[in-house]
Amino acid sequence: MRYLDQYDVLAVAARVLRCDSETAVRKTNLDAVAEVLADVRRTAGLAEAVAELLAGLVRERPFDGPNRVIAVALALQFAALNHVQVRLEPVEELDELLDRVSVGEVAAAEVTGFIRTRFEPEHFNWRGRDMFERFTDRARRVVVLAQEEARGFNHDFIGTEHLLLGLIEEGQGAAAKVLGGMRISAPAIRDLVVEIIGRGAGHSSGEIPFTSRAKATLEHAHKECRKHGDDLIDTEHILLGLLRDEKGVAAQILVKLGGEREEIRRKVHDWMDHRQRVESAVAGFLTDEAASAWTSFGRRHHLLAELNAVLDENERLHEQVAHLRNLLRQHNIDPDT
Amino acid sequence: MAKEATKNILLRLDPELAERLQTVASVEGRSVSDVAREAIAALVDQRRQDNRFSRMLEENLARHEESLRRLRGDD
Repeated sequence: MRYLDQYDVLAVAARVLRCDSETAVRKTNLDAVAEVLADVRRTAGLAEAVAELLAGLVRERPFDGPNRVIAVALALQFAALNHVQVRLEPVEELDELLDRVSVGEVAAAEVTGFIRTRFEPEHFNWRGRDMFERFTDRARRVVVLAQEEARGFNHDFIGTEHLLLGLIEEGQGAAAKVLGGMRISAPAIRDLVVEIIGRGAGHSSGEIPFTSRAKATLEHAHKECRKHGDDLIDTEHILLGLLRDEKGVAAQILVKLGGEREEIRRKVHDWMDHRQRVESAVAGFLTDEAASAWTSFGRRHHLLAELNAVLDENERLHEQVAHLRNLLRQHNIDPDT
Repeated sequence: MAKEATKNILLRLDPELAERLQTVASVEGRSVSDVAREAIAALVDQRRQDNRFSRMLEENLARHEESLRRLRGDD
């Protein structure tokens, strides 16, 4: 889940108040905001978190100005950052609830239930820049590479097979690591693309459209992303999206290359679980008082980047060891003796 | 929320940074709180320049403009 921090809160407050950032800081009780944000982080799901944020801000009234409007704007922004829209109408019901929240007459569960009824899932937008803004840099690179692969075959469409090649050629993401670890290579896939589809007749220029299966794959990737509570679509979500379509060309190719869908899916989930455990441990380490102070934001960001680089290197070494052990076994040498 | 124009804020700083803030404040003849507020505001400015964050906020405020306008005041 993408949580709000104090700077997010102040940025929204400044926009609603139509003032500069320094004025927003002066008009905000930062301690009260910090307490509410800490309570939000202790909740279990998005509806609970949005409810806690809204109720906390209405109760504590940290903003010197239209507190309720800022609180609601923050709830909208928090939900939107997590790919959910909140319906405000009928606004009278919301007002009635917030009146009771402000005098402490409402239990948290009631606010959560109310918010849940107002949730509207965000629809994936296929057109314009919206789609790519929800992608990590790596996932964007996958799409660019898929387009290049389509051009390489003179295809005038981007299909699931091109996305699969993009995932492998990207090389650094979780998908490339999982597929590479299963010895699924780009040259072998290209041979099968030619065998199954063949090459195109003409030269493809300009923007190449996605096939409906490729679109469905990216929609599935979006769903996987939300299911795992991630903020942006990454390569592992695209690979999971590909695996959902068993009739697509990519799925056929994976089967022909010996990659069972369930096995790949399990490996991706294992990778994601591992990553999440490590990141939780790192985040926990960094959330002591000194580290969570506003002053350490840059240091924290830097530390996380460094730790992630070390973890990536560690993972790469593990894969190399696994590969070497496989080679030994292929030559009838037991790696453990 | 207190109605005074400014409010004392409590910040947890590591000693080295607190010392640096103190130095800046002393050189510029300002209070530590003033310098700290300015630093926070600079970080808020950064967030306001984040394209995705700002665009999402503008879309939300535009989409719900009428509802937000009709919300009851709570002051």
